[in-house]
Amino acid sequence: MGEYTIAKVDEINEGERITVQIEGREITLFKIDGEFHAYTNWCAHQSGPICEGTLTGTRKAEVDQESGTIETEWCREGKILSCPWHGWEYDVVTGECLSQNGVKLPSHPVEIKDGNIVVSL
Amino acid sequence: MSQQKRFPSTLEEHMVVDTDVHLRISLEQIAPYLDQPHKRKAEHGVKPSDAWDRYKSGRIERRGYFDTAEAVREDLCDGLSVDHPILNPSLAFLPRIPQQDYAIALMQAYNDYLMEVLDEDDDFYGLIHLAMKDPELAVEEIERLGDESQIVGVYIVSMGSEVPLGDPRYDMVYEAADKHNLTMTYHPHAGVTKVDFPKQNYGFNEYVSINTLGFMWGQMQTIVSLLEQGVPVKYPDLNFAFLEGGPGWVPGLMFRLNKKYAARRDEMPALEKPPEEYMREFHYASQPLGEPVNHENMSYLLDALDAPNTLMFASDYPHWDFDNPSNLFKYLNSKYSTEEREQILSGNAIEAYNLNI
Repeated sequence: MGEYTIAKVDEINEGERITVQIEGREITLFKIDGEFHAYTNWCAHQSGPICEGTLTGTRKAEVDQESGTIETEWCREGKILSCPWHGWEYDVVTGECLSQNGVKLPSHPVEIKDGNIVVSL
Repeated sequence: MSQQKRFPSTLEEHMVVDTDVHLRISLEQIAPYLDQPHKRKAEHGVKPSDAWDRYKSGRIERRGYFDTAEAVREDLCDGLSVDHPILNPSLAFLPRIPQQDYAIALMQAYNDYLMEVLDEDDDFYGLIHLAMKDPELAVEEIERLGDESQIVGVYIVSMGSEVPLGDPRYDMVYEAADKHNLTMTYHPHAGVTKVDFPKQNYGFNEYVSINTLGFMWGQMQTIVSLLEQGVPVKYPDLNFAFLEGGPGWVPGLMFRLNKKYAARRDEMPALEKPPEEYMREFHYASQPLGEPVNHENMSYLLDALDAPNTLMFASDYPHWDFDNPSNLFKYLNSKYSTEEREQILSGNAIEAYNLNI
């Protein structure tokens, strides 16, 4: 356990990611809306390489029980990570799984120190 | 696929027979195995399609063609710790091809391709695909390839046939498979059925719906038809295997059929024992293993199924909904003895397909 320098701040552009091996685990660092997010590359479903998945939007539904209607719209463009194996969706900002209540990707604190991106495990 | 192995290392201590592995072969690759006029059709990719977005427009990885012995060895055997894959040259759209002679030519070409892949690796086994539009031609295909040493069964798409597959018009196929010691293997699909039978898949707006239902529906329909027509009674030495339906619906069908049979025995007069007892002699591939919110419910289901005697491991590789072995393994480790695990990972498949291992 410790702090690991992954890259320099200006080495990762908006919307990009980098995967590194730390302590025998694959850790992926994403840059989304100027913020860095680090997750273990292991899907909660069947251990697939979630962090290698596409970043797209997804469909959400608003249910109006009074009128008995459902409206759907495309949302979170570029922020929904889909596991390449079976399509499980995670919000890359919060790590939350969209289909399973209470399930999140293991995330790791990220700090910027002297122009370096530092991840704590 | 990511380099890091994504299954328990203890799996490597067990022999694993994978009963549902699809060779995905492009039509362009198949063209050299065809004569004209069909060669041209294959070169130009002539095949039915159904416009369902199986891979969610790239959000689920499409693994590309899976069409060489080398790919099977590396991705499946080394990557997922499978010792003996049972390969099928899957041609999901075969029942939808309107031209009879093109369907037959493709069936033969895909089977010829399979034979070449099998030649390259003695650990591989294969199922020959049968087009059931004309049962006589299916029998000819069994006669042609049924005695090849690595061919252990026949592969039939259990959707889109003219009538359910227990119908007496198919008896000659069962007889030929019996004669050549081949296991009847049924594999359903979603979205590839004919327009007029069965209609149940039509009218849904999302692929999740027809995928959920179609695979169960195809297998349930086939089993009920086999029992209605007494096929396992007519051919008591024939083995029957059901792929890609998962195991969830099996106990429910057993118990419901028992009840209905008891009340209407004269409508299934050939049976000599309750339907459940025939179904317990069939084998069922594990994929896709359902995912209950409460894992204990899977344990009860496996008990009702008598999994150590009926369940066979299957990955369905390389399809989008394949099962990583770890999915089944977590139940096997917590629930079963070493011997029972071995049965599910390899023993039941060895028995179902008379494998020489």
